[in-house]
Amino acid sequence: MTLAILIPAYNEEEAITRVIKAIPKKIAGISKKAIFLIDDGSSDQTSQLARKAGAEVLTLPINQGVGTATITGIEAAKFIDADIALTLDGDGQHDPREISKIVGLILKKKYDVVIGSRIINRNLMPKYKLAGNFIMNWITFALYGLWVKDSQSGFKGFSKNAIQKLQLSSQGYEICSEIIGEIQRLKLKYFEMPIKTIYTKYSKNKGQFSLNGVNIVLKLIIKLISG
Amino acid sequence: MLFTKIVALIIGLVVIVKTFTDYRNKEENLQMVLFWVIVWGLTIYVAFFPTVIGEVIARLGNKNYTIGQIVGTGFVFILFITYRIYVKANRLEKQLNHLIRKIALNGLKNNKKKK
Repeated sequence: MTLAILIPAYNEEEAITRVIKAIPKKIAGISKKAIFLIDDGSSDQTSQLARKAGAEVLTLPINQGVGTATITGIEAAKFIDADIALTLDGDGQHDPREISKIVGLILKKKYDVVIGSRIINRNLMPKYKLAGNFIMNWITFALYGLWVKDSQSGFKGFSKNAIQKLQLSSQGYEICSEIIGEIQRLKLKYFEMPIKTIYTKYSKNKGQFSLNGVNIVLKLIIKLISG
Repeated sequence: MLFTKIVALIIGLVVIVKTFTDYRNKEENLQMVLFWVIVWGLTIYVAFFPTVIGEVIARLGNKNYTIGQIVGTGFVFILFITYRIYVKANRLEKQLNHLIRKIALNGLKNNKKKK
């Protein structure tokens, strides 16, 4: 079984080495593991540090957004014929030790998609992020008809079936909602796994800005209209 | 009316300054700079002296057109231009995105071939 770990990253030199080094060396049920750092046109040392830490770096020459980086990663997973692909944020807000749990659910319970849901320490989540997340859950539900507790999570696992079937085209953060839409469209078997979130000063400053929500909604609506 | 004048002045000046900055950074040629300066200069002038439109129509000898018709035609034209720009920008964005993804994956494919 081959696992592709996909880390979209933009200027994450402060956290990237820690994130890659924290990925478990051995994961039950996995015989081969590939770590892909998709460098979204970073201007800092993200690529160099990721390579040094043991990741294979895919470089997007111009900053395109987390959506494009994620799609590139999924295409790489397809290319190496991965059985499971897993996306992980590069800012260190996810605990890489939870990769094993996601992989276990896909292998044993045959889920197509496992969504890492940031609900365990919701009280630690900054209030504005919590509100933004709740609004995006509702918007995702209104647009795609599937309610999930954390539609904007970047920690997700995909089975080979999902990797092959997903048709994604979002460039930015709207990819998270688009994936939920694809789960609904393709009737994929999914599970929301509660995950811990590591909120540091650094990770709090990274990720989506609240005002970006308006932009995401506009792009999702345009996508639905233009197909 | 004062609001319209202020908005036209601010937007016009922003565009003119941006055009000059682009020219200084060698991202725009002189012809385009002149074009935008004339277009926005005229826009600001019309915002401050709207009666000029009526005078121009009168001089052209056709008094059947009203200001409303002229503005309406202009609005339709601007909507058409916006649509064209949206279609072209969207197409370019998709093509660029596809190309960038291809470049990123080429590295991986070449590495696998070497191995």
